[in-house]
Amino acid sequence: MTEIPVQEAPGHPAIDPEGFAGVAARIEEQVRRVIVGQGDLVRGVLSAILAGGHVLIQGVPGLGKTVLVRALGDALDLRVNRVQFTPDLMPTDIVGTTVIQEHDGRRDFVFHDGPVFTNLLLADEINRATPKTQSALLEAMQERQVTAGGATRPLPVPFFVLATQNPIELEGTYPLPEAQLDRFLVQLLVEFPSDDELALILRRTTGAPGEEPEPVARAGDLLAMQSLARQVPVADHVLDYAVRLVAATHPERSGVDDVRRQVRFGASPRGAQAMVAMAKVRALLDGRPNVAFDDVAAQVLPALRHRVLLRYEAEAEGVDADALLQRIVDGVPRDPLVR
Amino acid sequence: MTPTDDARRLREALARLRRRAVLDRRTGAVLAGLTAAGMWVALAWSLGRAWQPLQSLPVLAGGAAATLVAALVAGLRRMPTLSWVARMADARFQQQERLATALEHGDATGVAFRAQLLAEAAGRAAALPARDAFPLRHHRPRGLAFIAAAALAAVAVLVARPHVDLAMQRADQASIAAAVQDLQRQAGAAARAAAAAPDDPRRKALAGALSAALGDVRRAQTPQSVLERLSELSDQLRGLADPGLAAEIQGAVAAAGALTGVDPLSPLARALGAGDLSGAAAAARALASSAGQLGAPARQSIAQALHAAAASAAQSGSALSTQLDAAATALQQGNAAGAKQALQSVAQQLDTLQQRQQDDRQLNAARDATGADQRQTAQRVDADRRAAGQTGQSGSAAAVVGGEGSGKAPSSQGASALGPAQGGAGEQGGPQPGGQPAGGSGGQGAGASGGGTRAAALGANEQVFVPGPPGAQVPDTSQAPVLLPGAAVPLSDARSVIAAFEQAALEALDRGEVAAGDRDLVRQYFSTLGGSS
Repeated sequence: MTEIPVQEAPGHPAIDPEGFAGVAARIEEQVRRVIVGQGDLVRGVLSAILAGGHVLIQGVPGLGKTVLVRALGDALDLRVNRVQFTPDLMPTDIVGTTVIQEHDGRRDFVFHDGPVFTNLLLADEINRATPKTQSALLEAMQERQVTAGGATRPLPVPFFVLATQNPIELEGTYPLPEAQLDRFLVQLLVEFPSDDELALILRRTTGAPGEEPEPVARAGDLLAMQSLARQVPVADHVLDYAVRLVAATHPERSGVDDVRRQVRFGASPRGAQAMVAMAKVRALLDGRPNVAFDDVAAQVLPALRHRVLLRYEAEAEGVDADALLQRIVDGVPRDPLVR
Repeated sequence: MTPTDDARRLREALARLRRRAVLDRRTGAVLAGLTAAGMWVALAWSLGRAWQPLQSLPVLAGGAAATLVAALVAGLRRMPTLSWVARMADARFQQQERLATALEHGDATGVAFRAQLLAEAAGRAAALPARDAFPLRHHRPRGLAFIAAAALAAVAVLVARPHVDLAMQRADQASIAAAVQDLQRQAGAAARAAAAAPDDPRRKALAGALSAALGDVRRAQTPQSVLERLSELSDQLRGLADPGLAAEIQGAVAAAGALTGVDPLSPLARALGAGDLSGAAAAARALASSAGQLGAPARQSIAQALHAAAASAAQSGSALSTQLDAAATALQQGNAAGAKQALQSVAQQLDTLQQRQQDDRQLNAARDATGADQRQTAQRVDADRRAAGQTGQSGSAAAVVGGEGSGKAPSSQGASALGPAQGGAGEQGGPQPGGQPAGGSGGQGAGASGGGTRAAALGANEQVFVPGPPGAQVPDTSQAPVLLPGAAVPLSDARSVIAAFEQAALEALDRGEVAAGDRDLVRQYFSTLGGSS
C-alpha cells in the first residue's frame, strides 16, 4: 500500500498529489470556458500561481489577457483588482493613501487601501506608468506587504501580480528596470490565435453570452497546492542541470559562443529559483512525484527570457532572448554522465 | 508494501542492471583496448617504413599489449555505481529521472512523496529489461572503430607502396643493366682476344664464361640472382688464372739483374728489368742474330751472365732458366748455331710470356669488373632487403654469396662437410698458390640456424672433413669434386683449413662483396666455429 502525501495548510483543506492535478485540471477547464486557445499561456499562468510567483504577460492588446486574469480569479474564487497603468498614475493610486476622516467630531488619519490589497492584481500595461509608480509594486511583489504612512500592512493571502505590457507602441513608455523584471517569476508571451481559434472567439463573443467560469477552488486550496508543490523532490543532477543552464546565460561562464558575444548580463539566481519552482509544478501537473530534466528545460524560456540582458550586437543581428536561450537548452547536456 | 520494501526492491532491481552494466563496461574496455592495439600496430608499422626497428615483432607485440592493458585499466578503473546505473536507466528508458530521484531521496525520512516515489521507481525498475538497458549495439561505434583499426593495420602491413616499389624496381633494373653493360664490355674484349688466338684455350674459356654469364645476367630478374651469377663467374675466372705466370715473370725480372753489366746484354737486361717482355724478346732475337759475330771473350762473358741469369730464374721456378742455360752453354762451347737457336727460344719464350701476361691482365680486368659489379649489386640487394623489412630476420641470408668463392656451390657440400647444419657457408675460396686471395663465402642454404650445430661438431671429439686434397689450404673449387653418394672424394680435416676459410671470407667482407645484411651472419658463423672473428 503506497502512502500518498497529503498536504494540509493550516486552516485549509488537505490535498494530495492526485488532487493537485485534478484541481488544476478543473481550474483550466473553467478558464477555457472564456479563453479560446492559448493553452501554453493558461498553463503557464496557472503554474506560476501554483508556484507562488508573479507573471508578466507580454502581448498586443485584444488577445484576452484581461479576460484570462478575470477568469482565473473567478475559477479560484479570488478577489481581482485591475489597474490600468498610465503615465499619470501615482504610487498612492496603487498602494492606497491616508486621508483625514472626521468621526464623532474627531478628525483622524485613516488609511484607504489601494487596489493592491487584493488576491489577484492585474497591472495592465505596466510599462506605461512612471518608474516611481512601477517601483511602488516592488515591496508588494517581493515582501507581500505595503508600507505607507509609516505603517506596514500585509497584503491578502494569496497575492499575485499579473502584469501585462504591450510590445508595440513603445512611445511614451517606461521599460521595466531589471530589478523590477526580476520580481516576476515568469514572463509569458501571448500569441495571436489561429484562424480556427479566432473564428471560435468571434462566435463566443458576438452571440449570446456564454458560460462564465465557476469557482472550483478556494484560496485555501491554492495555498495547500503551493505548499505541496514546494515539496516535490529534485535529484541533485537535475538541480545541477538548472544551475548549468543559468550559468550558461552568463557570457563569462557560458560555453555557447553566441551567449558570450551577444549577452551583457545573464540570469540572476532568482531565475534558477523560478525554473525549479515552475518545474516542480509541471511535474505535479504531469502526475509525477519528481522533477525531470524535461520539466526544467521547459521552464528556461518563461523563467529566463526577461532576466537576460542582451548586447547591442544581438539586437543588431535580430536575435532575441528566446533564440539565445533555445541555443543554451540545445547546447547544455542534461546529464554529463549519460552517453 | 512499505516504503522500506520498495527501497529494497529498487536497489535489487538496480543491482541487476548494474551487473549488466559491469559486463557492458568490460566489453567496452576490451573493444577499446583492441582498437588501441590495432591503432598501435598500424602506426608502428607505418612509421616503421621510415625507422625499421618499429616493425620488429617485440615492438609491435609489446606496444599492442601495453596499449591493450592501458585501455583495460582505464576502462575498468571505475565500476558503475547504483546511482550511475539509475541515471543511465532513466535516460535510456525515459523514466523521467524517477529512478535516480527515488534512489537519492528514498532513504531520507520526512520527504514528501517518498512512498509514492519509491513505489513507482521500484515497480518501473523491476520491469526494465537489463539486456535493453545496456545493449551490445551501444558498442557498435567501438566495434566499428576496432574494425577500422584492424583494417588500417592490415592495410599498413599488407598494402605495398607503389611509388616506392616502382623506385626499387627501377633501381634493381638499373643495377642489373649496369652489370650487363660491364659484362658486355668484358665479354666483347674477351671474344676479340679469343678470335685473335683461336687455339688459346684460356682465352676461349674466358670468352665462354663471360658470354654465358652475360646471358644469365640479362635474363636475371633480381639483383640477388645477378649477385649469385656474378659469384659463380668470379669462381670461374679464378679458375682461369695462370698459376705459373707470376713465377715466370718473377724469374724474368730476376734474370735481368744478372744480365746487367754485360754490354751486348744491356738491351735485354733493360727490357726485362722494365717488364717489357716484347722488347726483351726483340733484344734476345737481336742477340741471337749477332751470336755468330761474337768474339770469344764476349761469348764467355755473355755465357757467364746467361748462366747467372738462368740460375736466378731457376730460383723462381721459371721455365726461362732452361733456355737461358742452354744459350749460355752453347756460347761457352762456341756453338754459335746452338746459341742462336737457344736465344731464339728465349725470345719465343718471352713472347709467349708476354702473351700470357696480356691474357692475365685481361682476366684480372674481368675479375675486377666482376668484383665491382658484385659490390654494387650487393648494395642493391641490401637496399631491397631493407625495403622488404627482412634485414636481420631472414634465415636465408647466406644464400647471397659474396666474394670470389664458390657462391653457387651446392649447399650440400657445406652441409656434408661441416656437419648436419643446413646450408650456410659452403665452400670457401682462399689464397691461391701464387695468386690473389680469393675470398668468398656461402652456399645457398639457410645458414642462420646452423652455427650452433657446427660449433658443437667442431668442438667435440668428432673429426670433420671438407672436400679437397689433404694438405691443401683451401680446396680448389674450380676443380671441386662432385659430391654424390658413394663417390670417393679426397677430404681434408676441417680444422686444418678453417683459418684460411675464415681469412678468405673476411677479406671478401672487407671488399664489400657480401651483402651488408649477411656480413654479421658470416662473422657470427666463424665465431661459432671458434675462429678469431
